[in-house]
Formats: sequence, C-alpha cells, structure tokens
Amino acid sequence: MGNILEVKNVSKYFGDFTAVKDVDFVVEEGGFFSILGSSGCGKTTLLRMIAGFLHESEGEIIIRGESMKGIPPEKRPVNIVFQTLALFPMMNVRENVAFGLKRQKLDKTEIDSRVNEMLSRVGLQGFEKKKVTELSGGQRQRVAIARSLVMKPSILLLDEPLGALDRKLREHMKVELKLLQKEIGTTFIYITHDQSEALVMSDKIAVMHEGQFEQIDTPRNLYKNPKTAFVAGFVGDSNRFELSSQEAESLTTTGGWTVSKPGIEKADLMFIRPEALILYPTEGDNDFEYFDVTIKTILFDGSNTKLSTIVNGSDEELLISLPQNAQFESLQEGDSIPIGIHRDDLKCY
Amino acid sequence: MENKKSFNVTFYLLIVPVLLWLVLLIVLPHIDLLVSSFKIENDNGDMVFSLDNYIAFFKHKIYWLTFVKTAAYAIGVTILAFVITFPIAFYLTKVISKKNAAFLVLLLLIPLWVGELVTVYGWMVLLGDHGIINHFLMTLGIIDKPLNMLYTNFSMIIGLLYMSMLFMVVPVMSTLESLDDSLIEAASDLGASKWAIFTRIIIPYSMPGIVSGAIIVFMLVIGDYLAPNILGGKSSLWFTEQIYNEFLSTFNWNEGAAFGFLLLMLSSGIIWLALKLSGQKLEKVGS
Amino acid sequence: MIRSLPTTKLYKSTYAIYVGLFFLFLVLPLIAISVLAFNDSDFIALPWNGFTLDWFFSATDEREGLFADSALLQSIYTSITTALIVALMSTLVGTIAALLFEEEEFRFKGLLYFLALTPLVIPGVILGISILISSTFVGNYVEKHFGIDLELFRPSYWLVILGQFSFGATYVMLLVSARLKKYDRTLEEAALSLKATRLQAIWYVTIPFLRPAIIGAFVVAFLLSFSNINTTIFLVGSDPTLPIDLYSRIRFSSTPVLNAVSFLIVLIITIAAFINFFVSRKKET
Repeated sequence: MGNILEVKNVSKYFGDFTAVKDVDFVVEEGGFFSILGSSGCGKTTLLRMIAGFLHESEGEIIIRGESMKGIPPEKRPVNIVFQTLALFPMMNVRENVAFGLKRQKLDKTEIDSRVNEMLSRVGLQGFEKKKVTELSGGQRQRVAIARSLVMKPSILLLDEPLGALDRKLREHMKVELKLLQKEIGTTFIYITHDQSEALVMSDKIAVMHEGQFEQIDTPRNLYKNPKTAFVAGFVGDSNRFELSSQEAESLTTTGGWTVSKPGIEKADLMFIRPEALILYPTEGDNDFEYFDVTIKTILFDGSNTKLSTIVNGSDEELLISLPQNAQFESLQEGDSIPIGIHRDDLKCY
Repeated sequence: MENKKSFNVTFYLLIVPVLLWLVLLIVLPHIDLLVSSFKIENDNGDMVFSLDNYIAFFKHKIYWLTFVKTAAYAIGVTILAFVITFPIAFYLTKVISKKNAAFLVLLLLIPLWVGELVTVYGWMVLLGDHGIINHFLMTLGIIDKPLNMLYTNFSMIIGLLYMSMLFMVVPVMSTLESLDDSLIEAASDLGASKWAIFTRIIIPYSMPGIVSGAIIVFMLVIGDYLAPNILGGKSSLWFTEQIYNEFLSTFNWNEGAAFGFLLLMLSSGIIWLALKLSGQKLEKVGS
Repeated sequence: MIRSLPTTKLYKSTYAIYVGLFFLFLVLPLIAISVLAFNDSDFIALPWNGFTLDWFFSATDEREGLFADSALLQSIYTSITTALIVALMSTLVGTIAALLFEEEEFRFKGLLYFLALTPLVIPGVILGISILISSTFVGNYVEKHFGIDLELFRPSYWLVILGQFSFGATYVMLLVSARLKKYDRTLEEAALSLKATRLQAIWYVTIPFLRPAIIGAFVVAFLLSFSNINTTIFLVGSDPTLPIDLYSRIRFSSTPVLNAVSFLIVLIITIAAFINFFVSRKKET
C-alpha cells in the first residue's frame, strides 16, 4: 500500500515561537498512526495544519499525492474528531451525522442509507432522534466519530478524543476504536499524550517533543528500542540513572553503582525497564549483569506490583516488577535478593 | 423545631417586600388600567361601564392606523437591528482578540448609559437642515441645498435603531461567547460553506440570544416616545404619542387607558409569539 | 469567519470597514453634541465660530450657561436625589427578590417570578400610566373619605420614585440572581452547621459574596433612573427631573446649554466606564 499522507519538512512559527520544527514523515494507507507527546509539544498544531486550520510556515503537506497548499479545510479529504467533540448542540444525533452529507447535496435516500449504516456500525441505532446533550460520554464519542467517518475521508484525524472520558470507559473505547479502524480500513491519525492509548491502538507511533519528532516506530520497537533518552523516559516506566564516569566497558552512576556494558560510546544517561530485571537469575551467562539488591518496600498493585529496592553497595534506587506468582510471595522488606539483567536492556544515551 | 421557626421568619422577611412591590406597583396598577379602560363619564359626570373607548379606537382611522404602523415599524426596526448588529457581535466575540474586544464593548456601552434623551438630541443636531451633516455636505459642495432628513420617518428610524440596537448586541454576544470555535471548525471540516456554517451553526446556536435581543428591542421601540416625538415628523405619528396626548393634552384618561391596554396586548402578544416560536421562556430573556 | 478559518483579504477588509462605520455611527451623535457645547455661537449648529466656555459659565441674559441656570441645576439636583433613592430601594428589594427566588421554595413561586420579570417587557409608558391611574384612584379615595390630600398619590417627586423603582427592582434582581447562581450553597450550609441562624448566614456569608453584583446593580439602577423619561413623563409633578427638563427645552427653546449638559453627562459616563474597565481588568490579572 502507498503513502496516503506525506508531511515534508514542515515547520510552524508563531512569532518567535517555534511550535513545529522540521517535521518529516509519511503515513501508509489504512494505518493507525499516533503522534504521542506531552501538552505543548506541537502535536495539535501539526494536526491542525493537516486539517487546514493552520498554514505551515515551511514545508509541504501532501495527501494522496496532492499538495494541500492553499486548500481550505472544507476541501481537504480529511475529517477531524475534536478534543471537545464539537457536536452541534442544536441538532439531534441523526442531524449531526448527516450534516456533512447534506452539505454535499447528496440525495436523501443516499444520505439516509449512509447515516443508518454508520450509526449501526458504531452501535447507535435507535438513538437517531436523541439530543446530543442527552447522550453519555461514550455515546457522544461515537457520534463524533460517526459524523466524521460518514464522510469517507482519506484520513481521519483524532485530537485526543478520549481525553474527557473516565478511565474505565477510556480503556473500553481504546479497544473499540482500534477494532473500528481495522474494520473500515480508513487511515487514522491520532494524537494523544497518553502512551497507553498510543501503544494499544497504533501501527506506528511518532513521539513528539518540543516541536520535533524524536522517533517514528512500531509500538513494540518504540518500547524495546527507544532511540533517544526522551523516548526511553517518556514511553513506558523506566528506572533512570545519571552516569558519572565511564571507563573502558564499565559505567558508574552518580549513586555509585557500576555495571559493565561492552561497546558503548559516550553516554550520560541509563534507563532500565522494571520488567527487564530478573529475580533469582540462573547465573553464568556472559551477556548478563548480576548484582544484589535490598528490598525497601513492596508496592502492591495487582499485576503491576513492584519492588522498591536499593542496589547493594550503592545509593541507587531501583524499581523491579514483581510477577504475581506463588514463587515470590515470601519476599519481605529488608530481604537481599540476587538480580540479573541482559546487557542489551541497559539503555544508554 | 427551633430551626423551622427561624426559617419561616426569614421567609416572611423576604417575601413581604417582594409582594408589596409586585402587588402594589405591578398587579394593581394594571388591573386599574384595565378597569378604567372600560369606563366613561356619562352626562351626569358619573363613571359608568362602557366599551366606547375601544369602539373609538376602531372607529377613528387615525388611531388604529397609527397602531398598525407602530407595530409594523417596530418589527422592521427589530429586524434591522438584528441585521446591522449581528456582524458586530460576531466580530467582537469571534474575530478579534479579547483584549481589543473589551475596549470596543466599552465603547458600545457608553451610548447606552448616556441615555436616550442625549443621543436623540445628538441626532437632532446631526440631521437638522442646519445640522452638522448638511453643513459638511454643503461645504464640500456635494449638495447645494440642505437635505431634508430631520422630522422624517428616516430620522425617526435612525433614532429608534440607535437607542435599541445595543440591546440586541449584548445578548447575542453572550450566546456567541459560549459558542465553541471547534463547532465552526467541525462544520468547515465536514465540508460546509461559509454560508452553511452561518445559517446552520452560528444562527441556530445564537437563537436564544437573538430572541432575547429581539424581544427587548421590540419592546423598547414600540414603547418609545422620544425618538418619534423629537426626530419624527408630522407623518411619523407613534402610538405612544397618542397615549401621551390622551393623558397630558386632552385629559381623556379612560380612552388613554384603553390605548395603553391595547399597546400592552400588542407587545405581550408579539413577545408571547416570539417565545412560543423559539421555544423559550421569559426567564431566559432576563439573563 | 473565525480566526482559524482562512479568509480572503477582501473579506477581512470589508468586514473591518463595516465595523469601523458602525462605531462611527455609534459615537457620531456623542461627538456632535460635545463639539457644539464649545462653539461660540448662539445656535446649535456649525460653522465653528471659535472655542468658548460660555455655555457652561456665562451668566448674562443672552447666554445663560449651565452653572448659571438655576432651573437646570435644580433639575440636575432632583434627578440625582431621585436616582439615589430609586437605586437604594431597587437594590434592597431586588436583592431580597433574588434571594427569595433563588433560595426559597413556596407556592405560586413561578407566578410571582413571572410578575417580577414583567417590567422587562412592559413598555415604560404603560408602567407610567398604570401607576398614574391607580395612584390617582387611591388618592381620590383617601381625599374623599379622610379629607387628606396626599402628595404621594398625585404626580410628584415621590410618585416618580415609585414608578422608577417598579422596574429598577427587576434589573437589580436579575443582576444579583446571576451572581447567586454561581454561589456555592454549601457555604451557607456550613455557616448553619456552625450554629449561625439563617439570617446571620445570609448576612455574613451570602451578602458579602454578592457584594460586587449588588454594587453593580446599584449603579445600573441609578443610571436607569437618571436617564428615564418614558415612565417619568406621566408621573412628574412640579419638580422636573433632568431628562424632563431637557425634553421640554428641546421641544420649545433650545440653546447650546443643552449641549453643555449633554457633554457633561457623556463625559461623566465615559470616565466612569473607563474607570470600571481598568479596575475590572486589574482584578483579572
């Protein structure tokens, strides 16, 4: 499949402020592409440029091989689901969904059939006459998505649409949205500050920071092999260490913990995922680093339970995932336990 | 029990002044208005019940014609006020920055607080045969004899518009302020033209404000006395002027009461209709 | 359209010109009267004959300036005292009405609230004649049966106050209600649970919260009264308010002293508006 969207060296300045800086990427047709970043990183600006509500200061945006220069929002083959959803409060569900089709002056039977099909697809049949103000959060969500999808856009842009929902519903909507995208095959560009949303739903994720893309990758790669310190720290949980000295193949943290990692270039930071640490390892593998820690406290959180520990012989704190099986139930505060980690999982930058 | 009792004392302290206000100054006077509109003085000088005051209204063409004209002009001015001020309200809330808008809104409110008399007088000074506008047009050589603007329907409409249109801007602005920009963006994103956005999103959304504004403008215009009296000409007779004449020139208060009651019926009727058609409540108009 | 939607240059400039014309229309009469207040001419018209303060300070027979015109000064004084009394009464009763309708539940509340709103939609002329008719009715009754002629029931200073109060209270009620709607009722409940009586709770907790709205409403009531003519014209007795005085002068004998008075009103309102603007802006930042 080809590239449906090409963003070529796009920058956006607001006066002296650079909101988006030289961003360059492509999105494949039918993909679920997320842009992940904290608030103020420029992701909304980028999205609004793709939608046509803002003009890029430099660079070019190409959709289906056509430059979007000077093309107003209503003429672009994209639709946007707003953060606030922007449902029209004076119209009912059906009128909201039919709004765009009516603007295209389609005939009534076609509008009706497309609206009905879309409403049943998002599970809202029977709600046609309801006022949008009477709907629940999840239903409003679906109306907003249906209203955009019924237009059969080349790309659907979603601006943190799950932000306003409570946690349980958000978990549910993540799955629903992913399935919906798979089913209809429209390209989704989804922006969010919530890494879990991005990781669960996306085929590709771009991590954005201070107006620039740090890394574009699959969720698995992003998590496994973050290319920059920012990505390593931003995506997923990590133990973060500042390095004070580096000799030959050994690294020492500011807290006085020394590990060896062959073939490493100059590095300042080291990240270790809590689940990369293995309790009671079988020793003897040369690719592994072995050391002991003392348990400070056990942070019980179901499947997400962690040990807060101190690396023996140093001041470094280390969080370790604790698998919830009978094997480790006897662990107690103050216990000293052996730990192993594969040297590839010591991520240095 | 103690609590219950103190609750009641508070309640009576609150309701008694309100009842006095409403009963003595609103309800009873209007009942008196209605009652006296059905009375005439007979040959013995006694007041007797009669429909003559209302019959007189329908019998004399000048009365009911003025009545109809007043109503028609008031509706026209209300529509004009909407057409003229809606772009202004939109500009102040959606186009320019909040900071600049705050200054312009201030400018809007000054004529409102200065009061109708001063502004009507201002228009008199501007529009008269020897007024400022004619002076400038003649000095510039655009015309060689003064345009007849004052004491015409034109000057009256200007005066009515000027004093009432700001009451349209304020409620429309407050509904537009709550209109989320993303609604307009969403409509545009769904392919709506500017015109469609205007007629399908912006106007329906601001309908409550428009109705409130229209009701207040209509009420002010239909009940206005100064602009027709000072700026209007011989032909611009306004119904309030007839009421005024009945009370303060011919001293036929009973006929005046009948006219007043008719005017009240007209204004409440049209306001009721506006509320009914737009599905709004009177409470909303106030806010 | 809005800031984020692209528009053409032509559209933008046409729009800006329209807005400019509108504001010109708005300030034109105010500028016109103000300028002519300082024109050294006996007529309220151009051409410009030079700057003078005669229409404020002169005391000759040909030119009686504002500050030499005792009738005018008297009507200004009447208007100010009337407006103060009306504003006080309206603020008191309007605030009470707001508390009553926002906080209490009782029978016929809807009807009473409707009645309280009616002055918004009753033309001022009608309010004037209704109150005139019923006060005359009561006055005649009192005179006939008790032999007392009370000034209150004839067109007079006090009847004007009653007439202006009848609608002033409605505006105060609306302004105070709007603020009361944002009031966190638990504050009052907290006061009650700390053993305050309900009246104390209202006085010490609710009223201080409402203070900005009450002050604003007082000013609004004052201005409504000060500029009112539609209702006043039917109720006024031997001491005219300023608008009544100006009105008869406009109709019968205009001199540029009218401009001088109008200019002062415009000036005071403008200064007050700007003070209010900067004070409220300071509070926001």
